[in-house]
Amino acid sequence: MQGLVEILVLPLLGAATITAFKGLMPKKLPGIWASLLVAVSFLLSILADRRVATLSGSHHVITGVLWNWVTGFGAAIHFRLYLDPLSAVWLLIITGVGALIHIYSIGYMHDDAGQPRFFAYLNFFIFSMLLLVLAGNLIVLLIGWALVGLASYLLIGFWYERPTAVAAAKKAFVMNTLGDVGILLGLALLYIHYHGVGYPHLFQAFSQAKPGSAFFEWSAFLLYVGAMAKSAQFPLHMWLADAMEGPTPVSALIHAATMVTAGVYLMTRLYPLLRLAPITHELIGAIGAFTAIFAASVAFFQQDIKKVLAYSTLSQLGYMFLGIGVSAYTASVFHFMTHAFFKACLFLAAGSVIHGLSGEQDLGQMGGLARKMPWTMASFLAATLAISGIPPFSGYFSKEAILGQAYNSGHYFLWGIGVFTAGMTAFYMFRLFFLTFLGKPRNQKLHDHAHEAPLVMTIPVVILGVLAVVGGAFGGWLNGWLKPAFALYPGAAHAALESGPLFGTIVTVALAVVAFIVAFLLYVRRDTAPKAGTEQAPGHWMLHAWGMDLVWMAIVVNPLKLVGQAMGAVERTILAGVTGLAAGVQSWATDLAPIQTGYVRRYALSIMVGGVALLAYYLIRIGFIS
Amino acid sequence: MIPLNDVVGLAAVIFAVGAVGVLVRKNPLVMFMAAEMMWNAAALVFVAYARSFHAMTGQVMAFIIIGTAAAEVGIGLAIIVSVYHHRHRLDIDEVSQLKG
Amino acid sequence: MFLVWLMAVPLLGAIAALAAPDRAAKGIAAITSVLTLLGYAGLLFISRASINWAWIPEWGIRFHLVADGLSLFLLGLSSVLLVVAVFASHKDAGRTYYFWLLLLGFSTAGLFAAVDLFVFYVFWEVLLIPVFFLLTGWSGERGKKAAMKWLIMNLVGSFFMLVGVVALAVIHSQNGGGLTFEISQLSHMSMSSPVASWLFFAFLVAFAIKAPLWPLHGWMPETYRESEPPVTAIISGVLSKAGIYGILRVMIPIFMPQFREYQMWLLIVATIGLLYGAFMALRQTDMKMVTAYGSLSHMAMMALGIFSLTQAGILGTTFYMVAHGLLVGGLFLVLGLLERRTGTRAMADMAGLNRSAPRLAAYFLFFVLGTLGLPGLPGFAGEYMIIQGLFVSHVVFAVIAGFVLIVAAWYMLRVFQAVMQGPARTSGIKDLFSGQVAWLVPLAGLVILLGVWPAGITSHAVPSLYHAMNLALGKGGVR
Repeated sequence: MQGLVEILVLPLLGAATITAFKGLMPKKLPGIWASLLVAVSFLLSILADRRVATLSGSHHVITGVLWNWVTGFGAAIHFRLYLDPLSAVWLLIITGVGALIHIYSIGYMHDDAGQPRFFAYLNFFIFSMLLLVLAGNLIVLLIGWALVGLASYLLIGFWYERPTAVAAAKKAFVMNTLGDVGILLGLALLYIHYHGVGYPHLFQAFSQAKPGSAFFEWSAFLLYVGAMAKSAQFPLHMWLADAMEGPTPVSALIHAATMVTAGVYLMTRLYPLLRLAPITHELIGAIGAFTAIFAASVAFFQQDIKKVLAYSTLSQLGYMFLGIGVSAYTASVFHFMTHAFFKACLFLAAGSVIHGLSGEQDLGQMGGLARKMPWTMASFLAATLAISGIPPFSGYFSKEAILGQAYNSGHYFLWGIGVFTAGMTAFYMFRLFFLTFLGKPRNQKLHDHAHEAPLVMTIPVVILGVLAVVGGAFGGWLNGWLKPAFALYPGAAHAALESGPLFGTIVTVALAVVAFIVAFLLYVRRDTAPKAGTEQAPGHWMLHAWGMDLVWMAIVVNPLKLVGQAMGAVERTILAGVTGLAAGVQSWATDLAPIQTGYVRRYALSIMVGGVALLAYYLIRIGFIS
Repeated sequence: MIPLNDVVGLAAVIFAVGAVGVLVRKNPLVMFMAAEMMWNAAALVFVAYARSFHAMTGQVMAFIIIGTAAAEVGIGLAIIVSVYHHRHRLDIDEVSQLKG
Repeated sequence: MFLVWLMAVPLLGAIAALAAPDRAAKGIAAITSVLTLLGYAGLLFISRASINWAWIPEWGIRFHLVADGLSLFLLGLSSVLLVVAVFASHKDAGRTYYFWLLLLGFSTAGLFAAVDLFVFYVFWEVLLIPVFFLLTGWSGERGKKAAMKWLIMNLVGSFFMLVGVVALAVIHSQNGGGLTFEISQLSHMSMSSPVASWLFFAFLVAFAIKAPLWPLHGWMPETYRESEPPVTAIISGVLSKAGIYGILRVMIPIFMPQFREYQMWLLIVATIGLLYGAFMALRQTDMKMVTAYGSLSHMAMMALGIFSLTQAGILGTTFYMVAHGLLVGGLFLVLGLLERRTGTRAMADMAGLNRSAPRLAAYFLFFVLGTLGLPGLPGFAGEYMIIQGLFVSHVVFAVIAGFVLIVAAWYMLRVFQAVMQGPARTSGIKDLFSGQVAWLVPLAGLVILLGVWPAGITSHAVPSLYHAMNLALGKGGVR
């Protein structure tokens, strides 16, 4: 337990104090205070991780119960925290990258009136995300899971006067609730079967189980639905693209680096369950691969700088799930880590660009910014090289590890998709880079006013850029670090990093280089406009994400609306019935009222007649009158 | 010693006269007197049976009846007087506002 | 002794409020309600407070009140909401208003604590009077109509219940057990199956009307729409729970075989209500109506928890009653504050109010999130337990209940966003006054406490719940 509560409570404290005292705080204080708390949290996380490392034995787990969450039916469910090497990785990234993005936000949000609110939300997000990864059982995880959803909702809809932002926020929340319900049902199933939801308890039980029963498939699938929604796997992916309505630091922190990888965390955490549910396990890999190539195709022709990055995030999440599907757990975590570096860098750099162009996000208005924003450009380039899988940048290593394992484990088809997608990734990322920073300025006026971001923004971007370059070097360390976590229970025999066949690497890199060259020829040499290629059939559909929004409307939303209409008709009948009842009582009363004439003598007569009748009845009964 | 049946018969006659009086007369004062006759008929029956059965409860009831009747007269007369003040006529059929 | 306090103080306060001049009434009501709450706090420190006086010995009726785990937290709910409702009421509502409000507090306290069926019935009826006058006296002509509907439907229900109450006592005495209305004694007796079924449905109808449960909710839309916000808060927060509580307190111990027999039908009807309320909420244009129909759906959720006939489900319902009472009560009060400021309830007439009233928006969002069952707030804990109970008994219903949680997120956020977000079209409104924050903060704090520590209630509720269910165990029992 040592230190975990402090890590968790500090960001919450930040959110609470900023909310309570924002009226009293000077303008810059909320940002600094929030960043400071997250930074302290980061330092405490490092200390906690060191303690995990020095623990004796193979366990490497710090755990403890804060209080009983619920008791009364079956086994008590505790409010339990749990830190092991796996959650430690997330802990470091959340607080580390989180702190950088907090600092960046001080600059990015400096002239926004809602700044204190922004930092309160951001701190609340960090708290929720930490709760998610520090949870010691599925219930606490679900609480954190839903709270990050809430934070995401609040931050997507941060500019609440924009109708699009509001709609996007609602979409994200409702789709994430779908995921929450999946987890809820999955964990209820597990609880009923095993009388507990704590990780060690469940995993111990899983260790002794035989794979393949429907029970395991269902519980794994339901939990996977949760992961799907949070990590925007097809077909629950639409909210993520819309989520770009939020401020860019939010996109970097929540919708790229941390929250959307919660699904990866959950699935990695549940690897003993995945062993028992082979069908779901395969499904995860297949959907991951499909999401990767699907999102990459959508990213091809996007006009909005953030939309490209959003779909590339989707695509990279697909890779991570592909890795989980082929049991390459360490590789997935590794890719999560490098992705956090390069994608946060990309988003923040894009944010600097947007900031420098006073809010412009359209690629059609950019171009030629390299000289105006050298630091941003350099970081962006580093991150682009990383995400494209060009050696020796970080993305190359993590992506290779996933693809190599996909090949080694015999998933040749998934491997093929992954390799092809890597080429696509390189194309659209370089397209983005070229359209933004090279070529001729497409909007001279904006270009003239463009400027490099202030230091408070540039420094985090550069740090992340450096990490994107050297992040691959952490692979070996990560492999050793996660070994005890994956050794604890069966099901992770191939968790460690493996290298794939040499020709695979060559093909992947060659594709990336070819894509780079094509993008260079198209967008630098010929200076093609960003709109080109979107008028005809494939381009049009790719731009509009293959019409998935329409499909959802047609098969889910509209039928539900019809059901609602039918119920409205029923309701009218019921209400008419009640009105009828009330009216009936009233008219009955009106009919009976004239009996009350007001004449005392008539009342007296009635009493008399009644009395005589009663008397007669009893006299007849006792036989007095026969 | 008057036979019990005669006394009860007398009471029945008084009760019937009172009942008819209440039903047919329109003057509340007269109705009142008629009602009083019914009370007294009941009291008479109680007393007669009490004597015949050598039980005191009947006598007690008679006293309660007298007491209740006195109270009723007090309240009833007050109402009648105030109605008269209000309307300067005494006709029970005119006091019929309380109807449905 | 605290139980007597809990009932005597509101009663005396009501009389005092009636005797006092209009301008002093609110102060008296406030003091009374706070004193009541303090008395309730005393109740928390003693285990199982009870009073047991002979009332009508000839009929075996005893004035028997108990604050056990089942009733303790509902008593708390009614005390808390009474305080909040008084504080949220108009200062110039008049002394009769506060008289009825406090009388309502008195009768709900009696209702929740009664374990003698006759006393339970008496309070069940007494309760109608203050609510009827609160509905008619402080709203327009449509309010009077709504009150009539409310009264007639509830009287019909009461009639069914009266028949049931009398029949149970008579059957008990015919079985040679003597005339008694004590629930714990009635639960031991044996009845022939058809008679028991008839009585079962008589009670069920009475409780379902009060809750309300689909399809007996006909009085609900108009009543919720037309009544004053504090009254709506108490009806939806406390009185609706009386219906569910009645099922738990009276029916579970006595009618277990019937629950088993009709379980599938009960589950189906409650599930229809669950979906029905949710979808109706999605269609509404009046923000109060969204909450009303959402509440209908949540009541069905509680009923489902009981009908699952599992420990988890019934415990979940016990918890969810309190949680939902606080949440929906708070939500209706916040809506009332909003309505008082904007003069409308139509969502189409409002937008972007967050800018001018951020604090109001924050509390609004808080209660919206609570009602939609956000994990971390108490609604979730209740829903989790109920869904788990449904899982044990019939998986299909658990899945449907899960689906409804998604719809709930949808319709609740729809209200919040329509009112608070989007481009502001109208002129701004005043934000919360500090006096209003003063009662919202403790309420929100209580909600959060219950959300992170549901065991505070469940661990207490369990012994008496299992007592009730053990009574039932002999007749088929629960899982």
